[in-house]
Amino acid sequence: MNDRGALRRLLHEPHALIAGAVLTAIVIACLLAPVYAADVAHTGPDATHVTETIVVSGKKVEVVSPTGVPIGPTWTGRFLLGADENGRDVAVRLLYGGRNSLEIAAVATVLSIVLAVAVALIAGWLGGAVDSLLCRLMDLIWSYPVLLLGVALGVTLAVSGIDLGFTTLRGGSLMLPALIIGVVYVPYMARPLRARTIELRGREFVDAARQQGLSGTRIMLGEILPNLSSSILVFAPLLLANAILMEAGLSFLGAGVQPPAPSWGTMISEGTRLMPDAIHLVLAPGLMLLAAVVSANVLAEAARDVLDPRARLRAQPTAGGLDWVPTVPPAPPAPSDGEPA
Amino acid sequence: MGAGARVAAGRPAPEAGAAQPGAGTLLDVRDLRVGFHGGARGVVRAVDGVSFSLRRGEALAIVGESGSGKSAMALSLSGLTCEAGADVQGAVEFEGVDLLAAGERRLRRVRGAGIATVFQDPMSALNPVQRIGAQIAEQVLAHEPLSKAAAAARAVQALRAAGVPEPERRARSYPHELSGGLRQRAMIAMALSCSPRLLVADEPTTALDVTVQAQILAELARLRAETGMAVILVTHDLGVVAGFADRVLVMYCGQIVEQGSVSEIFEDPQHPYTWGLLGSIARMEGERPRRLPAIDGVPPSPARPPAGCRFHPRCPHAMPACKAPVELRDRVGGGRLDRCVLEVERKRALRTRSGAIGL
Repeated sequence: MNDRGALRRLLHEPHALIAGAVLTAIVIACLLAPVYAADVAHTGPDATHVTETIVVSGKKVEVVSPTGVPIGPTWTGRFLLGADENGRDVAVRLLYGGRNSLEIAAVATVLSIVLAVAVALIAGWLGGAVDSLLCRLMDLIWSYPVLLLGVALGVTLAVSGIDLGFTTLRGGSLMLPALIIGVVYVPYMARPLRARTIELRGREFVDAARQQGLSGTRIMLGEILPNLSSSILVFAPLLLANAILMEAGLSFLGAGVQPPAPSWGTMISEGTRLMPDAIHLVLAPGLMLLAAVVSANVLAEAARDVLDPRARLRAQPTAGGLDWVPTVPPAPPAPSDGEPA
Repeated sequence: MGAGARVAAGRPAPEAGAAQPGAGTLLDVRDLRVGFHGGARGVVRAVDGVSFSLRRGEALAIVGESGSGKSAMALSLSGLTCEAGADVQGAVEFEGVDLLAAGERRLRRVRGAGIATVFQDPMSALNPVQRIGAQIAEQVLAHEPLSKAAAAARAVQALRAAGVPEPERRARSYPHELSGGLRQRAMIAMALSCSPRLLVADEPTTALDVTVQAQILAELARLRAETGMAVILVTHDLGVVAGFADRVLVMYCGQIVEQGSVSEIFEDPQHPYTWGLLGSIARMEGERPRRLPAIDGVPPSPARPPAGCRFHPRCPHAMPACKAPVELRDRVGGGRLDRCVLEVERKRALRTRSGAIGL
C-alpha cells in the first residue's frame, strides 16, 4: 500500500487525470477572480450596471433592457457570460461565487474528516459505552434527511449566529454554512471508519503493538490511523462533491450564503426568476456546479479503484452521491476476536 | 531485580536439572487459568492450572497440539488475553512483579522491554502501512528516552543483529516488500530492540517454509547465547525443540502433562501423550512406515474436558484409575513431573514401538 505507487497509478487512469485537471482548473480560475474582474471585465462582483450600455460587435446594447431582461453572453471581455437583472457581470460573479462555494465546501470537508476520524477512532478503539454513545449521536444526525437538517440549522443560525466559545460566527459568515455542512456529513464517514477501526483493533499487529509496550493513544494514532488513510483518501473528494452540492442546495433555499454575496447556489436561486428570458443566469452556475461535482466524484471513484482494486467488482453505484460508500477491504479471519462471543 | 523474593510454598518444586544453580528465577507462573466465555458452551478453559518457573537465560519449550492452550498461555504471560476479554486467574511473576495484578502503566513498561514476543505470522503481526524501521523505532521510543534519530539507528542495529542483510535499506521497506523469512527476522529484530530478559516466541516458524525455519531457529539460538535472554518457545513440533530448548513442558487440553529436561523428554518420556508426539515425528532412519503414526482421535474440547486424566479417552493404555483426577508430580525422581498413573517400569515396556518410542 505504497502511497507514491498509488498516486502514480491514479495518474495513469485517464478519467482521473481529466477530472483532476477540471477540478484544478476551476479552483485556479476561482482563485484568480480578482484578476479577471479588474483586468478583463473591469468591474466587481457587486457592481451594478443597470443603466449602462455596452458595444457588442459594433452595436450599442443596453445591459438590462427596459423590460428588465438582462443581456446574454457577449463572449467578449465585458459581460462574457452576460449580466443579471441588476446589471452585474455573471462571469465575475461566477468566479467570486465559486470562491465562496469552494471555500465552504473545502472547510466543510476538512471539518467532516477531522470530526469523523476522531469519532471513529475513539468509538472504535474504546468500544463499550463510549462507542454506544457516539453511535447513537451519529444515528441522531443521520435520522434527519441531510438537506432538511441543513436547512433547519441554516435558517436558525443565519439569524442568530453561533457562539463557539473560541470564536463567534455572525449571521452572514461563510463559515456558518461550512460548519453546518461539515457537521451533517460526519456520520457518513464516521460509521464506515469506525467499522474499519474495530476490524483493525482485532488484527494481530495491534496485539503485537500492545506487546511492544505501546500506549493506547499511540496505537490509535500510530498503528490504526495510518491504516485508515486509504479510506479517508477515497472519502475526501466524495465529501467535497457532496459539500459543494449541499452548499448550492442550502444557498438556493436561502439557508446558506446570504445575498448579495455570490455563490453558485444563490446565483441559481436568483436566476430562476428570469428563467425563460435569461437562461444563462441558471446555466452558467449550474454547469460549473456540474463540472465540479462530477469531477470530484470521478476522482473519488478512481481513488477507490486504485487503493482497493477489488472494490470495482463489488461496487453497485446507485443514484445520488453518498449512497455508495467506499468499501474497505474484507476482514481477514480474526483468530483472536477481541470480544467474548 | 527482586528475583529472590519468591516464596515457594504449597506447590510442586519446578526446579529441573537443566538450569544452573544460582541463576535466579526470572518468571514464575503459579496456577495460571485462562478462560474464554464461549456463550452457550460456558467458559472455555484454555489454560487450566499451569505452574512453572523459568530461570534467567533458560530456554523452555512448550509443546502440544493445536488447542492445547499453549498460545493462550504464552499470550497471558504479558497480560494480552486479559484485554481480549478472557478470565485470567493465578499469578505470573516476572522479576518479582505479578503482571496479572499490575496496572496498565506497569504492564506497558514490561511489554517490549522486559518480555518481548515473536508472533507466529509476521505478515499479520507487522503493521502493513508502516515501514519496518519505524515500527521498531516506535517500540524503542516507547521505552527509552532517545531521540528519533537514535531510535532509528537502534532499529537498523537490531535488524543487523537479527541477520537481516542490508539493514539500512530494509528499515525503509514495508512488510509486504520482504520475504517471509526476512519478515520474521524483522519481527525478531523488533523483539530484541529493547534487550528483553525474556523472549516469548509463539510458533515462530510455523508460517515459514522448512529451510527458513531452520535458519530462524538457529538465529534465535545464536541471539539467546549472545544476549543471555531467556526464551519460551511455543511449538507443536518436537523436532524443533530438540536442538533448542533446555527444558520442555508438554501441554494437553490446558494442562501440563509432563515436564522435564530435553534429554529426559526424548529418552525417557513418562506420559503416553508425549510418546504419541515423539512417535509422530517423521524419521529418516529405519523402515519407512506407509503412513506417519498419529495419535488416534481428536483433542477434547476445553469447554468439556474429560474427567480424570484428560488424555485417557485417546490413550490405548487407559485403565480405570485414569478416570480419577491425576496430579502432576514427580514419579520418577530427579525433579521431573508427569501426570500418568502407569508404573514407570511398565511404561518403559509399553512405549517401545519397533525400536523407537511411540504410542
